[in-house]
Amino acid sequence: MNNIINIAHFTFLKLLKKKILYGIFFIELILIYLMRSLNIFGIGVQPLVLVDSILFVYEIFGFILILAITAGHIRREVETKSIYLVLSKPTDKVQYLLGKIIGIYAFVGIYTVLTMLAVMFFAFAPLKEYAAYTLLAIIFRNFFLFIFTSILIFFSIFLRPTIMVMASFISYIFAMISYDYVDMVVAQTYPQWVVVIIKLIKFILPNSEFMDIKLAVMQLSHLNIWYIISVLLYMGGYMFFLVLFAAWIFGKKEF
Amino acid sequence: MKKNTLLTIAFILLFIISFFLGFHIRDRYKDTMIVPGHMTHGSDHEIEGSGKDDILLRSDLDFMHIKILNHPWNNPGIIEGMFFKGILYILMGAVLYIKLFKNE
Repeated sequence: MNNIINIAHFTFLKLLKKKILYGIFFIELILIYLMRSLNIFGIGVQPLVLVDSILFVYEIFGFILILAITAGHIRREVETKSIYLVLSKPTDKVQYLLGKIIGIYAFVGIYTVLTMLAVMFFAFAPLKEYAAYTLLAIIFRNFFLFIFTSILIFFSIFLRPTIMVMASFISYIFAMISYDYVDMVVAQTYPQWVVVIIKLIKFILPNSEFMDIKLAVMQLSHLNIWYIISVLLYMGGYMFFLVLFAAWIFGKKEF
Repeated sequence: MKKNTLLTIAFILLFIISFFLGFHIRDRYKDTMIVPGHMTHGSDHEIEGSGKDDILLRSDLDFMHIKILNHPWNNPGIIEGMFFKGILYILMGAVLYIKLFKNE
């Protein structure tokens, strides 16, 4: 366990030195600052437009961030042979990968905290009564980013960075497609087997709409406690399974 | 049988169970979800006339309607689905955990 924590700590510190976090956060900060004066309908700032825009910006930039840090992260360590420095100590491949993953989760967590601070600082007043709920929605989107981080790390074990980026974008698009859209629109346009394949892919990939409470924020509707428990279970279970599955494959890998 | 084989069988079984559980829950809560078949026969926003264009128009409306009703946070089918899927993922993870760390 100590080995895993040490590797996680080291990975986290190493990632903090990367400029990409600060670059992405800076662009996000500018966008959130500009959004607070967004006057789309000519009737002043609309909190609902603001909520929608903030969540969209957070998610897209978060996705780019995790893509940038995971693509080739482990592969690079294998190619530069720096992985052998760690593995020569009493640490096995599984512990190494688990440590890496936990370090990356902590890094994504920092990005979320920074975004929440930016929202509180720049958009708290225009958001009015929606402000607290917006922060909760950001945390729920963070859960989705956590799950997606696990998927990207899983891909990064056996895919080249270019192919991994492509696979990640396709997975992201599938995760974003709503089941309702598949039932209502795709089913009317395409044959049944296309619908079955899309549903099968969606069954394996996480479902983005489960963790999307944007409309709940807009309606200020009450969140069922069982919904929150289920989301935590779903996220925890998915991450736990995928991380161990990736570690299992990585443990079998020869390099 | 070897412990490893048993764990692999348990893993595959859990995956299959989770797949069918999804269908089961969807069937159980069909009435709370608005599906295309429902809407074209007597919904509360029926459109007069007939023909393909109308069906398409109805579907567009249905799509709007479904987005209002099928929110994950107030739909018991989706909540139950997430809950059991989460438990099954944890069980599958536990099988892998035993395989990785406790299977010396």
